[in-house]
Amino acid sequence: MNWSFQELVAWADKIEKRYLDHYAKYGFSFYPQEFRVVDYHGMLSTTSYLGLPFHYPHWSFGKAYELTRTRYKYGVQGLPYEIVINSNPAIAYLMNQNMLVAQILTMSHVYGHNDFFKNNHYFKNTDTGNIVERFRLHAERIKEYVADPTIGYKKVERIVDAAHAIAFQIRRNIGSVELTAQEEKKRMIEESKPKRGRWFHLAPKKKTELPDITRVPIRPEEDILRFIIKYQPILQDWERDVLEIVAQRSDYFLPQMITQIMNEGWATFWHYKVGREIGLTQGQLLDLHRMHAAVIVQAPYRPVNPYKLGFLMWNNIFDRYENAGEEISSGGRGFETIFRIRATERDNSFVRNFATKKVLEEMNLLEYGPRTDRKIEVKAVARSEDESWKNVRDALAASCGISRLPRIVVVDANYRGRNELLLFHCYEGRELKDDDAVATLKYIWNLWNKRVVLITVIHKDDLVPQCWVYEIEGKKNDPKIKSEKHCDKTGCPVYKYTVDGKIEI
Amino acid sequence: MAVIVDSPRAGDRSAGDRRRHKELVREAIRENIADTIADHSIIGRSPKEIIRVPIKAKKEPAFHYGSNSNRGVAPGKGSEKAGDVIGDLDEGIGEQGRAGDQPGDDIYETEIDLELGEILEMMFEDLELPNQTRKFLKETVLEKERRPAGYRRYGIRPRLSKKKTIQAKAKRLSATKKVRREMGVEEEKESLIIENDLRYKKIEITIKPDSNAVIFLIMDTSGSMGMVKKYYARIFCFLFYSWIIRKYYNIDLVFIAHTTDAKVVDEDHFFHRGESGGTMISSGPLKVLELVRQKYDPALFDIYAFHCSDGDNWPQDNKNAVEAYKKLCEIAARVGFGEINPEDDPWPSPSEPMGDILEREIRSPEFKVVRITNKEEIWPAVKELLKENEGGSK
Repeated sequence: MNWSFQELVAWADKIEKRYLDHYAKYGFSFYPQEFRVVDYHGMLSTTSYLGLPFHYPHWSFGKAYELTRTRYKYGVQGLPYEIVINSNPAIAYLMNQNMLVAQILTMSHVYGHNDFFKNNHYFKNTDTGNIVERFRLHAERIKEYVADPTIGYKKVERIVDAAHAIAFQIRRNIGSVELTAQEEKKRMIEESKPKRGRWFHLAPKKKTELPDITRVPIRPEEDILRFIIKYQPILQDWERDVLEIVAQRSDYFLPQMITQIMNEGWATFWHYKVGREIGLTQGQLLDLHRMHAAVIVQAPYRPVNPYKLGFLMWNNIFDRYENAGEEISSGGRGFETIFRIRATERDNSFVRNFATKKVLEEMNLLEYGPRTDRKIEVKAVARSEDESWKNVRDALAASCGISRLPRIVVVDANYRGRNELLLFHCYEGRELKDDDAVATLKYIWNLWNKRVVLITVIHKDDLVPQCWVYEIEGKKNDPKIKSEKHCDKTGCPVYKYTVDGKIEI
Repeated sequence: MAVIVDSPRAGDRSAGDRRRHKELVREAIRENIADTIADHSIIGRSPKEIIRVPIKAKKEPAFHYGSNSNRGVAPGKGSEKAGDVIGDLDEGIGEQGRAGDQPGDDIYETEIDLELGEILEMMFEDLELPNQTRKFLKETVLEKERRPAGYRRYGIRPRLSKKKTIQAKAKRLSATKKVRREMGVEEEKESLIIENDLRYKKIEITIKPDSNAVIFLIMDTSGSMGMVKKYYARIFCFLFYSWIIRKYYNIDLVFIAHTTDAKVVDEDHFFHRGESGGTMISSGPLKVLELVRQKYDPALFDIYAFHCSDGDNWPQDNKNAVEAYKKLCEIAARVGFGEINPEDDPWPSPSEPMGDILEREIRSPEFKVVRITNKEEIWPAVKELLKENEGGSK
């Protein structure tokens, strides 16, 4: 380790000063930054708990620790050299065994994330000033339940296991406003009233059909976790509390999941820029470039590296707008544009609106898909002669960010009049992994206590979509699983569920 | 101003969670003991040995996308064209397999170190063996002999030799008579026995010199062996071995794998099938006979043989097999033929199963055919196979 504490502090200040002096004027702003220097074990621990200083206990973090340690040991995965959390002050971790240039790169990178957290629209709802304390209280409460002799850790673990399985089946509508159930009912009634158009009195009298406003939920609900909290009648208070804690944790992480490419690209863009501007020596610059190359490495057929994709995209946007003439005028020049975009977009829209053929080509991106002979073939390439590169762009936009998570909605909490929970998978071309889906349904069934039904679409071996249903029921600890064809409508009623209350099943 | 805090590790935050995870995995192993046994060599090893069981992390299911939808966007090499094949649905894209963020089966190195004894305990539980039997199987008792071999001056009370002690006292008194007279020691004191007089019997423990046995385990390795069959076969061989080892000082264990001809292999190979080809059951016992001629004189070794098979044989070979077994019965203490056919593993056999033929043709007391269709039958089968042996001991 070739640095002293004082040196580290001095460099941190230099970096901060560079950001403030040169880029604050375009909008660069960040929460007060706190760096914690930890050793290798501390870093492993921290990674396992997602960077949060306080977290409730659960075996899955033990597993994450072991997994990370093994992968690191065998060089399959590098330890994240940077972790920073979305809080105020923003807490970031540095590994004490890293060299000075690595720390400088990391710190510059962290400020990029900090700015993103502070300014991107999708993070607005996070209570950053209190989030760490909030997590601490969550952890305390769960530990109390574990210590409570009438509850105990096994019961708590059971609930947390179930909650984790559906952790991301929560509301994903950050930044948009939804009608409440009451408002929704009013709207449905209004709409069902006959419209008084111009020829109203000439039209044959139709009997007004009242929409069914008694169904729970009134419209399909994607926040399954909170739905269970609210509508499962026999959950204990502490159980509801635990579920809510997990739901809030997901709320906290969701914005990061839907902006991964933008965020990582942003921080990479800035570490590369500022890293070269703060007066490193030639030798140090060489190290910087070497490390930067490792960050944006991309091997063929491996998952898209969000650091690289994001980095290329930000550079591309900057260059286009900086050197544009008056044609792309309204956005302004390079800096103004990228600062505006980092505030308003999320991965799906970012890719859809700003990914150019050039960027896609630079990453050699291609769209692939299955063939009936069970092979996977290339459907479109970025390096195309025609417009088919746009297919690649669109496919990427439809599969990144939030689209990495399947959307499952509660359609009816009293299905077949027997308090059965009916779920639809909002199929958009990709099918669910069946064994995981059944395992997850078991957890939902554990929570709901009555039969749970999931309707989805699977692809048979000839790749033809087939409407499919999974059902779980039975006595406690003795689940019976049914898995069978649901109906013959290819393309399935899941698509056809309508918001006005009529669901054709 | 950035704040930089030096926070070296303050306690191990993840210790509790890691421990809990290990516990859960251990429970999972217990529930799937069949898998563990099927995968590891257990025969002929001491219960104290540590087996490293590489464990799969406990799964955390959630709603994910499956492989039949293996579609998406990925970086290629840049030279691909529409229509090129870059993978298949079972393996994913690229040479090494899956792209995308599918969580795979997380196998990681944290292994659980289980003592073989613990694994055996789990297996016994799975088989529902009575406690008595379990204890019995875990001990190793050697055939020992105790011979009287003189006397010594120290030992335990039950071995005190009164006769010799008195004699020693008498010797001492007579030897020191003159000295005592001179020193004026009283007469009463003479009747006391002092420590130096004590004599204890010495016992020599010798291992019976002719306590040698050889166990031949023969396996039909044609065709495939599923996990269940492997499990049963392994347990059977293990129990058979455990029982016999109690009686002998020295046991040689020979694994013979055969298809149409036989060869000596190690335990791992024995339980990993995969060779295709015909089956000539006679090759098993013939090989045994060959080895007996070469190395294992029946006068010096007690011979045990056990043959695991599906039961199918090349019909022309049946006669040879019967002959070979008859010969084997003449020199062996015990010969067993096991048909292991788990219920959910049906292979309809076109010809009469070997077990039936052998049972019919061979009438020696040493020969026994057992059939195992589920795990509850394994232990009773072992007992039956070794039944006569219980009464007679060497």
